Amino acid sequence: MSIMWRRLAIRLFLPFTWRFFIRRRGETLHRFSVTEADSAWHFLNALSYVDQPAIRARLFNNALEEVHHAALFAQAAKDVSQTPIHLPIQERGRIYDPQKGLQHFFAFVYVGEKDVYDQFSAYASAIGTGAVGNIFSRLKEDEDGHMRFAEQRLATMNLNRSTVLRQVQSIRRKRLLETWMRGLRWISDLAITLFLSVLYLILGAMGIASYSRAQAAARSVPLTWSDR
Amino acid sequence: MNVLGISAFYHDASAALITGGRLISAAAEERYTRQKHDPNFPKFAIENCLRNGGLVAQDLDAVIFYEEPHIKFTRVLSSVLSGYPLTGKTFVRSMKDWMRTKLWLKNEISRRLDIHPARICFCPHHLSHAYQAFVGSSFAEAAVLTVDAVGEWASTGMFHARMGNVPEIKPLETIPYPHSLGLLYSAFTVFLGFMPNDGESSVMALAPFGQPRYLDEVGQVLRAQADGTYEIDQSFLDPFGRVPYTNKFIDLFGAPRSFKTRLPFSAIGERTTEICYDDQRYADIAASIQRAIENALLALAGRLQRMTGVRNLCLAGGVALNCVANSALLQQSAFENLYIPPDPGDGGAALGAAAYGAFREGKCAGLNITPYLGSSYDEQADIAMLSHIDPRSWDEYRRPGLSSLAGVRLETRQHQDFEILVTEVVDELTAGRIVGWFQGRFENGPRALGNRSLLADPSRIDVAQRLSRCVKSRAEFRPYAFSVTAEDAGSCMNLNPSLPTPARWMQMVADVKGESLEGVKAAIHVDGTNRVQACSHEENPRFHRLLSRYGEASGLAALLNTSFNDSGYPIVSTPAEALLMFARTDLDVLVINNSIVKKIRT
Repeated sequence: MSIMWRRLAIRLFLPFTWRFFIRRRGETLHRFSVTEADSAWHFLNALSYVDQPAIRARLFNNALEEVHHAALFAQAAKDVSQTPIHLPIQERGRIYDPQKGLQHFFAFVYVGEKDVYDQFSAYASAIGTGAVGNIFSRLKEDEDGHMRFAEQRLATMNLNRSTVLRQVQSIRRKRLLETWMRGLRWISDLAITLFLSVLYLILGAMGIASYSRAQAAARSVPLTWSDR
Repeated sequence: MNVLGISAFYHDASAALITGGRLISAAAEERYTRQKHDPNFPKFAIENCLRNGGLVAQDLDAVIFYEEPHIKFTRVLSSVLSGYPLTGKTFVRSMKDWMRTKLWLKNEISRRLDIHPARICFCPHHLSHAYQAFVGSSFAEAAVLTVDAVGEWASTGMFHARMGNVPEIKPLETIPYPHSLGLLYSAFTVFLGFMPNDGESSVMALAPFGQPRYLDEVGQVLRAQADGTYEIDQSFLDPFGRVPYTNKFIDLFGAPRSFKTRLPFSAIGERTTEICYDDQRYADIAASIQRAIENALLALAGRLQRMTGVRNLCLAGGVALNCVANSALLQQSAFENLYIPPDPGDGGAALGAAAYGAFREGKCAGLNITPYLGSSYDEQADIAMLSHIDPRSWDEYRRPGLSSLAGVRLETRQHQDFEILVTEVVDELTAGRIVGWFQGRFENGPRALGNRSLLADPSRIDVAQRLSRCVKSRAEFRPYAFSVTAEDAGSCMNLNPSLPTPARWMQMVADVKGESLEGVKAAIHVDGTNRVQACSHEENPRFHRLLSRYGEASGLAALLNTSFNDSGYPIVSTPAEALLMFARTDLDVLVINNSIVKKIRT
């Protein structure tokens, strides 16, 4: 359901915001670059927990693809921007959890890549053809490949279907919760911004008042001959 | 006693561990997260430091953070408010940051490491730098100069240090914010179209293409004082603006350079003859700020020498990464010896903070600091995986403009005998191939010193150009460095004294002697200088052996050496990251510990 709403929002608002807010376009592309680099890092990170060389090879190739995607988005962001983009560097956290094992990792990859696939599809149809639109159209196929790989890995792990489904559902719920938390954080962030803006005005006014008093006090000192 | 030093939340977060008076490990967070200059809490760096020391967080007796957050907060708050009413956005942004984490740092560290807050202390920023600079120097007495962007309030610190049972580091003088050489150099970095806290090395590389024609103009911004200190005219700078300089700055120096345009200068091969006015202006401005910084450092060093009367200087802080200025200090100041730690910037300050904690308890003598303090990795599993990979499948995901991998197969071999491995690598290098050299623990600091290096024949211009275009994606005005055996350094470089300490870790430049010019012509800057690493057997025996063996084959034991990283990423840390770069670029040969991987064209 949330995916449907997101697709709709992207289709409705993206052409407008990208047309009139060029900086925002650059920042969005830059964020995609960061997300893809993050995915590459997770695949590289998972390599050290996999014994079978064939699976390692597949994870390595996925990482290579994600690094390539990151480079494409970074170049696209540079191409559309007038000034360099500085965004805060986000803290990394491992998806792979040694206690939950590879099954959890692949379930997470499956859900995450599916989300990215949906998002890229929405962007591709909202932007249409053109250099940036083509990037989304092309890369969504790779993301689809990653999703299928994760699905295949889960299928070969000798788990019963309901266990896998439960895991996938639990990750979906977790991601949904994270989205809600992000929304709440955005609201709290807005409240903090308002509070700090008011605080800034008060502190500034107090500063101006004390500065004016200091100036007035300085003026009230009788002038000496040298001052005249 | 186990002491962990941490630097974080500004740029280049890192961690360092001292156990029982021995430096166990030091590494930047970026090496584990693949995010260049990662400023976040260094959880992975700490995890690896503890693993290298065989410890868990609860074994730590002290955790020292590299600056005093509450003092820094007063500086940030008062300087932001001083710009009222134009600093509203900056105030909101920075206060959010402070309210979230930085004001409650003790609790934050305690929560993340699960240790009692009483074990966590703070060390003043410049004192962290001073410890970092002095404790590894092996000087009995030295003057210590720390110069960077800004710590709590100070941007420059001067100290007098003596090594007794424990080091005694006495603060002499500080120069307060906003008068900061580091911030000024960063402002010029942005003006010249590079990223601050990253592109400063590009300004340094651009400088030799110009003449310091704007030295008087720079002198209006950076005003040298008769006593050796300096002042910066703040009307030219805007620390809270979209760009860190004002319109007055633009009136003085002209329009800033766009980050998108390509500079036409080349440090390798053919010199470009047609340079437009603006590009030459940018090079002249780079030359001018570079010269002005050198002069300011020389004046500071002169003042410090007069205050202390000693002959040894230890230098740290981000400005100490400026190897051209370091050479000026070594050659033109009254100091005879100069020591700079392997990572003199904020990343290395974690090591200084750890040393401060260890010495405070009096449980530690001088530290033996080497650059090789990062993590090491086994490559077997990653090499085994290659047999399941067809390199043709990489074609679609390589950088644009590279040759196709159709008809290429991978050849992997493992040599138990290091001599055989070295012989094979030397054959590849002499044949003009580019080699990724990955050995043991990675280096702490921004320089690749023979454990995570890309190597090539330094006499081949074509190879260096291919390295720039097809492997590093690097601007051609940036020169390459070379590594040479410590024994041969004097015969190919003009070094004075015979082997200054900064030459061990690529921290200075020196003129290449005429007879060696041809042999290293692909690794020389336009001014005939080179940033050199003089590698000794004691410090890095495997790399030293490779250089020596190459010397036997070519006549000069020197190799072009550049950091093993893809554009926009930090230096590789793991074998998989090295293989990723091998796949994405035209790197011909990859050596990981005792294994060798080659792209063979059939």
